[in-house]
Amino acid sequence: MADYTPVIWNPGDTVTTSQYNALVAALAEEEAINVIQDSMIDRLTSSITTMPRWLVFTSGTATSGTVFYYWFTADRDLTVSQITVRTNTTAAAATPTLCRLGLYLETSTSGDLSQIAATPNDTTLFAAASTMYTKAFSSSVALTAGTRYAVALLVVSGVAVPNFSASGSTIGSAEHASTPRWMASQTGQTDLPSSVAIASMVNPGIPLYARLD
Amino acid sequence: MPEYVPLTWVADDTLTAPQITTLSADAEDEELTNSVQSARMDLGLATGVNSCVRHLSGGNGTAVAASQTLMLTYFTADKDVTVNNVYTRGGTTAAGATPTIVRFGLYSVAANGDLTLVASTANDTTIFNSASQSVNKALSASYNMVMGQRYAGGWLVVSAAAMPTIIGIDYQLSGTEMALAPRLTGVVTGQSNLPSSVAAASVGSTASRIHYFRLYT
Repeated sequence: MADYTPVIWNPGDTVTTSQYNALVAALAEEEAINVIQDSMIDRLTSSITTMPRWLVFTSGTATSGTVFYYWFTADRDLTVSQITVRTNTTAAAATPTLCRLGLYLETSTSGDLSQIAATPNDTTLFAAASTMYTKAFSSSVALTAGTRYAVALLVVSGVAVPNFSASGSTIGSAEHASTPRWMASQTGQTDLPSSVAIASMVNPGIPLYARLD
Repeated sequence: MPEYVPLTWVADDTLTAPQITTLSADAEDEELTNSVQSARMDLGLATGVNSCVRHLSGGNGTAVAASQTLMLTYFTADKDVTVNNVYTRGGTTAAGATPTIVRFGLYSVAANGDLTLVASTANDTTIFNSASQSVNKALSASYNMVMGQRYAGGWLVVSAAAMPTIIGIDYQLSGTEMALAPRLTGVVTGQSNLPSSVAAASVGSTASRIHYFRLYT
């Protein structure tokens, strides 16, 4: 790659053809690099995911009554109407009382969240292991490139709860809490909250793979 | 990094010196940002092209799948480079004695997903005959990889004995999810040798894996 050297123009200076061409070439090259970088992380063509697919090599187990939040940055402007997650080796035993997925907007750099979309309760979700589950939000929502969001997962059940396909998370709670917030959880919940302060969360979480379409 | 505010010029507008100075500075800023982004994620190597980031090579070896199944990992070349060799590493299970075919194939991926064999290694049945063994194998002919081009590569093992494992990850998503554009993995079954071309429709998604390999000069 050519190394672009910026030029400082002063009033009355003439922009030479070579200077102009170098500037245009530099901008075009950086645009091309952006495209390649997107491709190298295998960014999906028409969806937003919480992480590249190749990071999903393990699983995280839900806990009844605990909301698991996983933060991500939208990599494009996209209006989404559904969310997809995958159960791993353990399905939900019959029958949970509540299974919901949510989408939250980060409202502060510390990680406070406000709900912007959620699926209705569906206790048939997660009834099978190793299955992709797609569920529509109650209403669609427009995501903005560069904005930080979090997906949320809540299962309330008196019997066995499922585990979900995820990336690894063995680096310790302090790393989870580093800014930007990576993941967290909130215990003692009977439903998805409309908003949640970071102060009411604890660090353990599930680095949950989710796809938003 | 300062945020550049784009301007919209209309006919006969004058480009002021501060405006073009800012534009020039932004071009340099974006160049630096791109460089930092790649470095932070260790996306690419200084030399050579790898199939996935090295972070993913730490698994304990993933199955090569069944005999006669070409298991492909898709990736994008991050540089123009002429490659002559391929590196990978065997997993914790060696190949039983003795396979009849062990070859690596590199395929160029067309916009419609069709594959064309562009480079390969000669048959060498000693590859993967020891567990956790690094493999460096020359390509039969050098190949000029093109920055931004999508490729797919993988090892084909034909054997009636035990199949080896190769470093990589056994991902926890469905094959369908991995096949979403851009396709990340795929399998081509029933191959007695490397096919010279594969139609996109013939690439399956079941039981595919991500394997780490590096192509280098």
